[in-house]
Amino acid sequence: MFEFLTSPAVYQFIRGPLVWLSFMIFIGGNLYKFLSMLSLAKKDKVVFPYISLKYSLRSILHWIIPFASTNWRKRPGMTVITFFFHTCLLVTPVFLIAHNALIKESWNFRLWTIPETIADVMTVVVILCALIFLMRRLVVPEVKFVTFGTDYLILSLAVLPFITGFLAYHQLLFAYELMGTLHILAGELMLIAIPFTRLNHMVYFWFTRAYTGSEFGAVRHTRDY
Amino acid sequence: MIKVERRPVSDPGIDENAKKLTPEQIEGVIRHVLEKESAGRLRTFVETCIHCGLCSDACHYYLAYKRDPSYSPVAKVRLTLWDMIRRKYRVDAESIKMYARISYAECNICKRCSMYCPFGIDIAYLMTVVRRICGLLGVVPQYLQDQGNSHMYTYSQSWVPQDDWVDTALWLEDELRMDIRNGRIPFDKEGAEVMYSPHSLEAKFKTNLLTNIAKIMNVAGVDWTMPSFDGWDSTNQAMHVGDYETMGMVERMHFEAAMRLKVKKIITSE
Amino acid sequence: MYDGSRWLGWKEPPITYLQPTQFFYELIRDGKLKIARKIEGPVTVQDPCSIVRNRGMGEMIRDIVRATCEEFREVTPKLEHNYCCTAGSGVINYGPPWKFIRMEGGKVKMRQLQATGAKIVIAPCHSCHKTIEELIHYYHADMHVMFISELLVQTMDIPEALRVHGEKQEKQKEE
Repeated sequence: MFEFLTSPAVYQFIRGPLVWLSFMIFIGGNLYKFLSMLSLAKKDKVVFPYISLKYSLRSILHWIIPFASTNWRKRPGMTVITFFFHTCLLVTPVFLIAHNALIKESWNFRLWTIPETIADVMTVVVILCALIFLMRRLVVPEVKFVTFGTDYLILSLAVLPFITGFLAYHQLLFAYELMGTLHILAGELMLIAIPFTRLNHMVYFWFTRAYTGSEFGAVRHTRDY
Repeated sequence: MIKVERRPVSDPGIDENAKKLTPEQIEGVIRHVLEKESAGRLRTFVETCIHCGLCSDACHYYLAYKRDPSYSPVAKVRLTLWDMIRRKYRVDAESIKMYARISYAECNICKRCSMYCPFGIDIAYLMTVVRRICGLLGVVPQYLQDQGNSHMYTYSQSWVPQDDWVDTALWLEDELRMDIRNGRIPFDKEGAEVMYSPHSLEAKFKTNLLTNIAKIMNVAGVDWTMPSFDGWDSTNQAMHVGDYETMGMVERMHFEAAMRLKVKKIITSE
Repeated sequence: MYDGSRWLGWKEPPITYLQPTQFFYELIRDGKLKIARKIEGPVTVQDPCSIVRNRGMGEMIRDIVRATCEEFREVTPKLEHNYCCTAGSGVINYGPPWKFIRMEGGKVKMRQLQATGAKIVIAPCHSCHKTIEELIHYYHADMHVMFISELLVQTMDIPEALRVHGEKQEKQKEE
């Protein structure tokens, strides 16, 4: 198995075409999901008439700023963990020096980057937060009650690239090459999984919030935060 | 299927009607409601929920039942909608009874949980979808279904037919004059400023409330009226049953009454 | 109200409709209804879902109560964050087999109301009114519930022309 993964052909495939494929599936899948959501929303007579830009933004803003909504204030611990997890999860891979070096190699441009030590800390933060999420699922009764196998699956899909990346960077567990390949593979798996699992809350979030924000603000004249 | 601890309740509307269900009927109704009647909202809400449990504290049942996880809003969706979807709509009558209990009796559709969900998932809406399924299957608390039937039969919530309504308002006017000199409860006044449409209880058990309204209207000198014909009742229990056909009829009738009287606005009872 | 309109495909109903709370609020605001006396004792309010979470009229209820009562005590959580009375969406009408669920589920509501120390609860909605009254009996609380219309009838100033008994007679009665 390890030999298979480190063999040059497989490594080339995982590094090359599979990256393209997974990005295409990620973008195409999300686009498909988005369009099918729009057409279904049209069938749902009330969605489009209710949408209001002002109240959508009001609702989204109150929920993407930490402690801006009542529930964020009521559960400060969970708020801190959620925001650390999601910020680090999004920022680390995009602004990582190593990733940007690869982009530069391919397309000759780079985004600005974050120092390696900070990226390292942020990776650990993601892993720790994921551990806490896992503990919640196992221990907190109201979360345990609604936890299915898929919940563990999507959590591990989200956090595996970070674990493998961390191990590869520090050259732990396996040889760097093998770990690197596993890391790329994990990243690709996550990208492919996003449109088709509940990880697509990264896309749906904006629209469910926009709808509920509009319904509460424009139709019901109350706040939803 | 997860077993949840509940005090047994015997309600003929749920128990007896569930006995008559056939598997085909159940599957057909669920398929109809989930695939034909509901669209974007249902799909998006179900696919977005990340099962985080942050909505729990919003529910007064959850808080009142000592934080029993099966009373949290997301758990109610888990026990009803997810259960149907996971079992591909092939559920037995016992499950329908549980869905009915959870959606009718353990959720007040108060929408507090939507304010606590980070995604703004309208859990109350999901519960109305479950009610719709149970309503179409006829598995509804007996007393509630009775009021739905009353809407169909008398166009009022509590079996007050139109002639009783007029009669009640007439003797209420007599009583009103004990307190307000020349007080009036004007019926069918075309082009009035406002139409008051009472709660049907105000024509049956709590008539003093209608007298109170009449007193306020008379003292404030409001140009008001009420319809003497069907459509006077502002309540709509068919909505709660999940019987949307009757609900639409009641709603339309109510606004048509106002149109017929050419009033500028309607004051409902609550 | 929303579900009916939605089912019929209306974004808004064809004729403006007001909840009585808003109507009474406007009557007092425009001076059509004069308040002659104030209700004594601490008063608190219930925010019905139908008119607060669904219509945003929480402040109107409070304005009416402040205008007609001597001492208003705020509840926590308040306004749209207030708890439901456990009678909403028809649960009030399920009859005896289901009464227990309202009484047990209403524990949160009752604790919240008792914490204010108020003697009168203003509940503008019929379902809230009835269920809170039952909760008060169930939990042996020392309170009673009033509608906004009751509140206004007890406190409003009835002009001389509309009075059945003259001013003098009323004064004699009081003495």
